[in-house]
Amino acid sequence: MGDRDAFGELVQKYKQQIYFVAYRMTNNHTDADDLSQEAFIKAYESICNFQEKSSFFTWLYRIIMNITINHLKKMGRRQIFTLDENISIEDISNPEKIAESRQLNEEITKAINSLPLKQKAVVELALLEGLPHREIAQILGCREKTVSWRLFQARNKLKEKLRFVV
Amino acid sequence: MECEKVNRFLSGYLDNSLKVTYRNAIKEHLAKCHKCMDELNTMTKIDNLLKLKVREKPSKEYWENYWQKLESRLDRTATLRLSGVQSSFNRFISKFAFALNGILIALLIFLSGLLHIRTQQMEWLQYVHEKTIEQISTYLLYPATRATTNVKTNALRDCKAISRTLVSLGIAKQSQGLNPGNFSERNSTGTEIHGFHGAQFLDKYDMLTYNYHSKFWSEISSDVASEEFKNGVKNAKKEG
Repeated sequence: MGDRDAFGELVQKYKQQIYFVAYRMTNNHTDADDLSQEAFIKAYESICNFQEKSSFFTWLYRIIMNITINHLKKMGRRQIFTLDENISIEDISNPEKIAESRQLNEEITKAINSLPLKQKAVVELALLEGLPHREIAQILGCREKTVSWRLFQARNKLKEKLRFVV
Repeated sequence: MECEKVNRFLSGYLDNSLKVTYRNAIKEHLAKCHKCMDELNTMTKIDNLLKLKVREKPSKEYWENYWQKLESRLDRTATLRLSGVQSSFNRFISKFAFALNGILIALLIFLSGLLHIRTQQMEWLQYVHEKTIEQISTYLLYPATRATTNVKTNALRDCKAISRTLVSLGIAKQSQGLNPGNFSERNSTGTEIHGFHGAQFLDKYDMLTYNYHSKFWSEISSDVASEEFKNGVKNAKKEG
């Protein structure tokens, strides 16, 4: 039970970050909820495999990225644009601006979703989470140069998709 | 630096992930080239756009219940895993039992074959033990002499034939407590072949495990199986 309590503390500390990684990749609350929980379960079961070569957070990130990417591959990467009932949009007072914001949000989401999964993962971690390339390389299990190259390719594609906005 | 090359490194420049030399070279180029500078500005705007993407948050209640929900799931997973392990174990046992049956049957067939050979060997040993050297030599030398009469030009076959005889006689002598080395024969060319040839074979030869000279034994077995030998045995038994 001591192990469970200690793990519970880790969950409380990282639940939001892990949830949002899954959410940004899937754009779906139900999937994000399910996948983040799955990631924590997998982490709990394989905690003895954590070799402290990276930080715990990096290791956890790696688990959620792998689970989410595998999930998206199985789903055939269907794009889901839903505003679930139990979530609330951040406060913007002007209704027109809200609509504009939603429209823009959808365009950005569509553009990100059109990226290949590996590029999407790098965009999520580098541009949205703000992680350094070295850490992203550890999470994704690739070289730093690979991360830079994927980001370069992703940015080129996004430039094409969002040119009308820019 | 050319614009094409600079463009490839703009992404790294924006992330500050380039080596100092490259970074300085690109900075120098950007100061002079509006086209590349525009490209960098576009990239920066897109980065900022992505960061604008609204982060839709679940309710406070959702976060408060998160751990409780996860804990229930952990308990359910543990239970499922246990029953899964048990059924995997049962499936493994069935497959293992099936494979084991197959192995046992194959082993049984193999052992029967060995037993048959062993029985033949034992019969031969029993026979050797019961008869005199003279009786055995008469009937064993028969195939050997048959071979030697035709082999002035084939000394190898000659020696092999004699050796086979010697081994058989060596076994016979041993069974009677005699030294198998004290025995010799002359082949058709007059060369004396001593019992030690047979003794050498006996030293290395393991009757029970059918090992070193398995080929040799199979030759003796074929002698034993031959009509001449069988007739010889019958006659020896009649005389005995």
